[in-house]
Amino acid sequence: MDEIKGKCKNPNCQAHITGKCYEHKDSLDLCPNWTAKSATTKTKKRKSNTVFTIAWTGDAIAPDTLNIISQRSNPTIIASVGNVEAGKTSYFAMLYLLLLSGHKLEDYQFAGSLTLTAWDRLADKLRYNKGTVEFPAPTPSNPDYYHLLHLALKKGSKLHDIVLADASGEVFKLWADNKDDENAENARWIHKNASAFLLFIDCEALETKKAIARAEILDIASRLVEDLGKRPVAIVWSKADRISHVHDKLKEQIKERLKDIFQNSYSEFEVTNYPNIDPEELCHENNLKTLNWLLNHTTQPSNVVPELEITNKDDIFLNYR
Amino acid sequence: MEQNTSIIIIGQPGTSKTTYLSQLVLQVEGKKKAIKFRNKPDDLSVLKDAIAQLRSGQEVQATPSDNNEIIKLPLSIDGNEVDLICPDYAGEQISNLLESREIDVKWIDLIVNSNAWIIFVRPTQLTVSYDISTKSIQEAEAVKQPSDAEFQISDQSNLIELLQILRHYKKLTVQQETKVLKLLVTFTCWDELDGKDTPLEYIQKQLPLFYEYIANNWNKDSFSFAGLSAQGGKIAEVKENYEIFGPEESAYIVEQNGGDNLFDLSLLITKVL
Repeated sequence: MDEIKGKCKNPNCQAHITGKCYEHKDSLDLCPNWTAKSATTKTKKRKSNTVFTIAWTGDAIAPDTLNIISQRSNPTIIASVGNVEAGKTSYFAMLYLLLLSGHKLEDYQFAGSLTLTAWDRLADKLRYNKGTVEFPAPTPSNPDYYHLLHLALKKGSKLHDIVLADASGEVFKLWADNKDDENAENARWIHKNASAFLLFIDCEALETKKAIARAEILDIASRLVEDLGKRPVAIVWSKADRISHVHDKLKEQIKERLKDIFQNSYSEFEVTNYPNIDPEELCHENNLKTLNWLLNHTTQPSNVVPELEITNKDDIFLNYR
Repeated sequence: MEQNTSIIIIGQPGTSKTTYLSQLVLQVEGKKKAIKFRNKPDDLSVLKDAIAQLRSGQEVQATPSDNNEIIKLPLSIDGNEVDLICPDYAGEQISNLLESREIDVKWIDLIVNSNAWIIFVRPTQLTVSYDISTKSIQEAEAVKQPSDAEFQISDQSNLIELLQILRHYKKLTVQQETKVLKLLVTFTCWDELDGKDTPLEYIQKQLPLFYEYIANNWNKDSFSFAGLSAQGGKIAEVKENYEIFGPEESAYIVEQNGGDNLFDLSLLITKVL
């Protein structure tokens, strides 16, 4: 892929990597948030042949760049699935914030990441940068938008490369309605390749939209279970500080249906991004507990991750380990 | 012939690299410590101004950002032949490495040939940020957060990325814990902190993910932490001592578990041998 020179004001936008506009403009030049960057200085430096570009960018990766991880191990892909604004992206943002502030996964230790900038961009949305917290904007609904985040974790001395995959709630809705929908390619890729899933149930949506929200959740759950095999599902009751406002009957119906759908290969967790005290179970503990549970119940990574064939073993840029 | 041990010092601009190197040169020239030059360094002119400033009781001025010279001190410590190399005198290339993600081939050579890394981190340069997991909006407002700050990668992510890049070019794998290549993270301008925490407690409390990254990539005997006050305190407080005893007598190290101030700058080097 040609290098894209420029910067977008929207911190969620990956246009500098993907070339695709977050606002769905036909060209990046038409987007008011995009500033094209002059390449003069860099070009001049490169002419001297003494400056090299580092092999990874720190930004989120996509399936076609997964090889930077898969050349050293077969990564475990964990996907978040759920409706629009169910808290999928905020869950990842909080996960990294918690790791930054010293909270830990019970059984896994942090050993690095090739997407640190992307993690920080997400976490930054939950910081009080502008006197308030913005929360991550809804994930773009382009069918070819991928936002894969990497964590290198160790359990004992064994390395586990984890890739967390995110796609928009709109895409999952299309996929739930029609699994062959032409605009749900990323949802299909995630469903096919992920080794484990986080299925988000938005307590706030259940509180306000009631049966409509319940139907949307169960539609996605029913689609997710197809060809699921033994892949575990963590049911995440998000915005759980509102769960007491969800009608008991709705909760009961959802729980019963989930049991029918997923049988024994799932577990339920309640999470929130609004802690009242520190530590608070819903925020500081359950976010990490959810991932820890999934990792412990994931048997083996999917085998379909694209591999990069390395012909030159001495190539320093292809030799990331 | 056996190669000398090559130690590189790396730190962002303003992390006290110049002051440390200048004070070290003064200590070596003072001949009071078990450290000496194997031969006269090729070029100490880049430290000349800084040494003169220290001798006249002044703070060392910031190094111009366009100064890309490499400082190399050929040392002998307790019989060990050591090359102490500061590849990025001004610290600008570190910023470049992390922002534009470009690396000079000279750096790659130095990394490949290095045996130990000393990373300078100045705690008072680190950004304190408040987030939804740790503070309420009222608490955050009370400490006046920047009103319209542009996104900047966090200090911890930056430090982890720096080590990831160095490890990548040194071909150290995540799968295998690193034993041979030693790492020392040095917290500089240590006198600027309140002194309640030891260097080890400081990193565990203030930079916990950076600590976890190190502990899961290096063997427990191959990484350590230290505090460094190359200036020895605020210049107004140490000025008289500078004039009477010489500036190098005020500079000190704090071991990772605390204890007395140790007025021997070569200890940073012996820690990674």
